[in-house]
Amino acid sequence: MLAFPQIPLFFLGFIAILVFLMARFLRIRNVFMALITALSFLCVFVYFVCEDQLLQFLEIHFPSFENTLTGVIAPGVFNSNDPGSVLICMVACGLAFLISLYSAEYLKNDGRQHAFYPLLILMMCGFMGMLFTNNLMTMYLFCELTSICAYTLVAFRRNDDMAIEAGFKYLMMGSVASIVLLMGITLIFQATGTVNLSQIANINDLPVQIGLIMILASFSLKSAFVPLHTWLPDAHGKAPSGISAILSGILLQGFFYTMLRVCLTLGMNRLILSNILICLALLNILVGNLMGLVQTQTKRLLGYSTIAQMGYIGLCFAIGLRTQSTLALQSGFFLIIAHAIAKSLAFLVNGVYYHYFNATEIIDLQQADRLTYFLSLAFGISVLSLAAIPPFPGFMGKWTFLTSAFTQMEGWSLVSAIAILAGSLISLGYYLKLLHNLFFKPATDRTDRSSASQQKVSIWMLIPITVLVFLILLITVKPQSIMDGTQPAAQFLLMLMR
Amino acid sequence: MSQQELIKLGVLLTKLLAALLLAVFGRYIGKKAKWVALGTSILSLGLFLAYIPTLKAGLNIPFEIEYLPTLGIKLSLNIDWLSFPFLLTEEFVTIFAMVYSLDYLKNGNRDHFFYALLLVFSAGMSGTTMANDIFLFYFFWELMLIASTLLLVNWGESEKRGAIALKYFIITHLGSLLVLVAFIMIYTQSGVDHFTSLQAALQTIPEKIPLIGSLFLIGFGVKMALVPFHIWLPDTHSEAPMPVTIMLAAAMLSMGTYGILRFPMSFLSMEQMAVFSLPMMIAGVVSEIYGAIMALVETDIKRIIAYSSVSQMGYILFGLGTMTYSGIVGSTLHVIYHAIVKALLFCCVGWIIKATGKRDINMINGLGKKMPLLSACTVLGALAIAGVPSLALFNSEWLIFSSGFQTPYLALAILEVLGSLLTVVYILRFVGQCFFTSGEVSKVNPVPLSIKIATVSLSGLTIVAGFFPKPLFDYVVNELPLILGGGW
Repeated sequence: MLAFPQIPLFFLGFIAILVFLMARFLRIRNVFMALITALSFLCVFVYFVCEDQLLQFLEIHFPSFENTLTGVIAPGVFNSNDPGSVLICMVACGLAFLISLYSAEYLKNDGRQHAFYPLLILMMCGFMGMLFTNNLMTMYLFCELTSICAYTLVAFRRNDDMAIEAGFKYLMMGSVASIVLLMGITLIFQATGTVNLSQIANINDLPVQIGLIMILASFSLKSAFVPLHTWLPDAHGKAPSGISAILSGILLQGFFYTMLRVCLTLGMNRLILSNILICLALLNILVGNLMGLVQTQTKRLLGYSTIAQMGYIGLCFAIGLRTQSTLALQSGFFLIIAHAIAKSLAFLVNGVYYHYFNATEIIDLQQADRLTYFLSLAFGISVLSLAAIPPFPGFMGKWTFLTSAFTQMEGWSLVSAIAILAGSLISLGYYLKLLHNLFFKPATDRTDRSSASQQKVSIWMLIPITVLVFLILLITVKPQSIMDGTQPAAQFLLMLMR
Repeated sequence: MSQQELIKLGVLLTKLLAALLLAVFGRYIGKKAKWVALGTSILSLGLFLAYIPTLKAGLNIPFEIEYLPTLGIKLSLNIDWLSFPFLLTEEFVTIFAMVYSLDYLKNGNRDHFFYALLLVFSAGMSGTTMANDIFLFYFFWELMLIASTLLLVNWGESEKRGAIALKYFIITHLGSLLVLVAFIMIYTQSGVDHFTSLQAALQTIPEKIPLIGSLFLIGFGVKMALVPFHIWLPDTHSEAPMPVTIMLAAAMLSMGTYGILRFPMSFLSMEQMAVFSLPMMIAGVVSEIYGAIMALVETDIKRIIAYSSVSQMGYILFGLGTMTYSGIVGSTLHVIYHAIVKALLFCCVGWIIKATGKRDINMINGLGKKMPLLSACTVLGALAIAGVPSLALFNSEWLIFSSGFQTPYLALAILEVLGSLLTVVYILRFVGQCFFTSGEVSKVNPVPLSIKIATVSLSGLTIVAGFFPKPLFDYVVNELPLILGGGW
């Protein structure tokens, strides 16, 4: 629960401008920009955690504060009682914090860092606004803000043609999705006369239904559901590692959650929604896993793995909607968190290898464990978690889902349980390939890393990786803490269904 | 933490911890890695043996940690009389495999990974037998699979190792998934993942018992390499490096038997299991005869012994399927004896391969004169597996055969006994061709001492176990109250 989601939004917007101006006119170094960005994300994270205490403090010392805030800044636009959005935003903020630290070293040799950090901040700002807003039009604007920043960040390394192509492809597909989204919103507005989610009635009208379907289609492109997934492997393959991590770790899931929230708030029939989601998710699992098997580049492989994981997450929510089971919804949130941590860890470690060895192909991982052994262990842990090997978080999420699916014993639950099991089985084919290349392949001419053991990995890269490893181990040891955290979010979704 | 809990954790954690240390710091100690691994496995065995008095006194209490209360998952470790024979087998086999491997690896670059993975493999098996809740059971079950696959992929003997490892992984993982489905079906009924509550929960859904029972039997049957799920075994066993083959054949196959004894046969009562009796016996006889025939026509000596495992697992399943006192005790004893004899035979095969550099049985002639010690050990192993009285496997075979005649299916029992004739045929072909033909092997390479030590001590064990079956028998009989409702 968050009483004033607008505070972090304004704060982030302000910081974005500040960082840009400082970079432009004071010509501060990359490390300082990274630190300021990281610090601001940390502040937002802390604000999420202890908003209550802060508000209490303000109420005692500045009694008129609350009235000012509710009255002046964007009244009625933000939804203040959605624990799911808070959960996702907290994950996003945490990731953005780590990635800003990581970029302090990763972007050292690139130009134009003055554009990178403001874009990152604006992207997160838009992301949070989209999750918290209660108003379709605002949602569209924030969604555009997020997407445009994402397109630009994907093409950040503009001297690489492939990066430009990936960004352009993402831009083209994403813009079509945005237009469809806008059309959907317009239809709903025409039929009901309002864009405020809580005021829209008569949803059984045909235009509203069509509008809903358009919103669904648009968001399923943005959250990479097959067959609208084609932008993703390119974008993830060519974006800077930190951006790939945040795109695949939380952005897709954020779009997905927004779609779920809008559809449910507008009273879409939960069975229809769940049928659509099951079809999409099954396709995702199939395509993601099969295409993952034939990839030769690590980041593209991780991209296809994200598509498959989106399938698992989608299935969890779909079955949760269908059977109204808290446990299935909880498993969805659990998988989102587990995947966010594990996938971003994999991208970040791969980014280190890229930074030091220029490693892009899977075979370039050979002998990479010569460079600080801890890194390859971290990569191993993240891949094992993604592959749902017990007892890592990925497995706990799937176990939870299987439990709820078998409790219901209903046709589609069983089908999805089997799909998840089969998907995990196939996915081992590519996850094990990564581990095999990293740990066990002997050196070839291409991958002679004998000088690597002298290289020191920068502390800015090691800190985020250590934190993520620590988080994975923490969840492995105490999954109950995450399970407790996801409960209010799952119950909120259940409440929306009624 | 009591002494009891410390020992139980110790059996597992010594190996896991040593494996972690070897993986991370192994490169700094170089060739000493093997001694660390051997020491760890001996320490682990010592800890396990120190637990026997507690077990005898009937004082064992599960060691439990709260893990995920929302889903009722509580990690729990226990050693009871049912896990005892399997844990014993596994701990001993690990030591022999370690001794065998001392001089086995050639290039020392990544040796510490080999030993770390061997320890993880072993820890996976001990964890599987010690787990007292399905979450932990499944975790260790998968750990065992992953460790063995990695060993196979990296230290396999030919260029096809990647494909063979993938086949092994996918087929056995499919079996694990069937088991997982069965687990979750019971677990959603009970809401708690502890074995005892699962057993109670299973009785509340009698209509699903046939389905769950078959899922368990097929799932564990894959691990036991029963026909027709055996297809992973010959390739895997002939491809793996010899220490891993010993672990796979002698210890890991018995995990399937453990699974069958632990889940369907102890969760269900005699009446509920009666449905499965005939299919299990038939599958047992089919595996026995098929494995023996395949062993008879193979020419690769490692594959001959590998198919012999399929055949021997057939005996075990037949014994379990009879659901009689002597059948179950006999099968459990057969697991232990088979582990000893199979380890011995693989050691001998390894010795032959090391000495002659050949694997084709038609190329290996007349080793008898040149290598008397080897031929003595091999003949001993061959006689044991053929079921010659007073050697290890005779006792358990006797019990299994006699159990067959206590069932109404006389024809199957007779087929089972006659099928054992094929065992004699294939093993005598192997011994006769290798040692007692007139040809000469041109050159015999020297063989490391560690291989000789492992082989000779296993031969000693074969004789001792055959002549003094009583202590082991007395221990194994204790498992009976835990099985099939305990009404013996």
